[in-house]
Amino acid sequence: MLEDELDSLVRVDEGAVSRRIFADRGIYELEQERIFGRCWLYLAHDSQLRRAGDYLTAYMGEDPVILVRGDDGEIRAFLNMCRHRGTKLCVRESGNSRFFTCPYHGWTYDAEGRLTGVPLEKTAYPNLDKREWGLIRVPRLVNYKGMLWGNWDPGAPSFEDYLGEMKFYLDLFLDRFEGNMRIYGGVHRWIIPVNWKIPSENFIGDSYHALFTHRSAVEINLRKPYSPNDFEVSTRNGHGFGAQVGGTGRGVEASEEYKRVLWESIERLANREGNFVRDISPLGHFHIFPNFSMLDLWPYTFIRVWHPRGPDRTEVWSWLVVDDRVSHEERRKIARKFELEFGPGGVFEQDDAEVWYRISETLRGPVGRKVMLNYQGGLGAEREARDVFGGRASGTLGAPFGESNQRAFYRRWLELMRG
Amino acid sequence: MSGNLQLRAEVQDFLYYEAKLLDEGEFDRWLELFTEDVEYVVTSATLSGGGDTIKLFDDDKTTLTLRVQRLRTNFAWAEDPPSKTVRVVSNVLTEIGQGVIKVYSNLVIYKAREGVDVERVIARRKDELVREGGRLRIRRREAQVIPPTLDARNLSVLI
Repeated sequence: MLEDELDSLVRVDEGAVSRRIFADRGIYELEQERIFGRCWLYLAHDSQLRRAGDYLTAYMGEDPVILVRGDDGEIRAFLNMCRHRGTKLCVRESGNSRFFTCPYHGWTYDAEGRLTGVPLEKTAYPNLDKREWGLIRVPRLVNYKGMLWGNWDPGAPSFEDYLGEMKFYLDLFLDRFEGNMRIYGGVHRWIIPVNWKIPSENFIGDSYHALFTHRSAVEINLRKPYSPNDFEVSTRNGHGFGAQVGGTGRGVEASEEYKRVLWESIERLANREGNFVRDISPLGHFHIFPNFSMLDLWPYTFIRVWHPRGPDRTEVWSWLVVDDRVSHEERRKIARKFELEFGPGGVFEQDDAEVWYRISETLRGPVGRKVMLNYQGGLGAEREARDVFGGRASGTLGAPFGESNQRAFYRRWLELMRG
Repeated sequence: MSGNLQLRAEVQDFLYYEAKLLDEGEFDRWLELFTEDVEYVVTSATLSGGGDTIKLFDDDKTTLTLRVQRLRTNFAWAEDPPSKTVRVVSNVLTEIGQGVIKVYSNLVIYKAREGVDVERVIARRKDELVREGGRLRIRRREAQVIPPTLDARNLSVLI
């Protein structure tokens, strides 16, 4: 019934999307199965789990997971849940432990997910086969150049196939670090009362909003007037990015030491892949379907995961990415700029949250939630990125400040939601 | 003891006055309460500890001033219209340090925009006050907000 309606709610070729997909509980529940149950989801960076026993808790959609490095050096991911009564096993954010003990009845699991301890086992469970009751393992986990991604679907395509044409651009980012990518200590976490797709579609393609939403940053001389030279690239599996021609945020005050490391990395990749790399790096706003985002700028780079928390709530997890070749002192300066601009109290971030919340405010009424929205920006102006950039550039190039990336996002969303 | 009592009363008045300035939108006068070399740091209850640790705010006088300037740009959407806030300051303790007065306090900020929703920001604060020309000034503020996952769409209010 609901599934029959999906095609009428998302009419990408006309640039029309119904607001119901941001409000409807039934659609939200279907997304949990068909999108978060089948897509590759970002979990963590392997530099956060260096030693045997290092663990981190995370989420895949609404399901809590725990990642832990075993004695054999392998990182595994499990549903963070005791098999006995379903109690959340580990509530700490990170740490080091060889065992995870449930506080309810004391069932204990090791770092490889095996059930190793059941109090009063001989008396209470004389016939228990503990091999059957290990933690539920995330069946697919990949370490892609340091990034850990998980997938609940045993039959899902490989992560590289899932990236498709986006692999080229993710490589352009990750290869910059030559193994020196690190997560600056800690994570910003907060709840924005908005559907998870709103921030996601913002990060895949919305260069347009910066001009107005973030006008205050220009008024206080934190940014020069925004460049009109914008491009947007989308790829078939619902991924995309976009940037200012010449590199997003070039000219913004940044640490000299960091700029040097960044520039040398970009030069090296431009020599490898072609001159256009210089024009598109840093990569600006960047999104991998469904809920991984990044903002890659001259002064800093941060990554985000938009965890769904109901049709009208998103839990934001936001990490600063740093390069280990940059000194600690300079990293602190980079972090300060990031905190001032894109922390939960950041002068950019706080206005994004405000406008997104106002989207939720008009989704409460029966009239407002049925309206079709305009996603027509740059409709019909798409070209092959290769024809413009040359080299190994892949994907579809949309019009400057257009919405071709958002359309690619919803095209993929619809494909997956149809089942 | 009575000396401490007097100091605490003076410090309490100072913190209440600060809260009043912020609740009434008197941001320029609020800035005057800080020394020129102020360190203004807000962390989250998540992942405290040594080494590189991300913060919510790590401001100095320049960036605090920038935040105040932003509010006047007509494009500060998160505070347009300005939030209505009520700050409750309590559990004030004072301690005489090396040339500074250390002040511990708890803070709850109730923040409402238009409509019925009220967000809360809850923090424990540790301030270092000094006297400049006989007047108390904040030379360092260190606040930690809870919960680890903030249930607030942003931190558009000053802590």
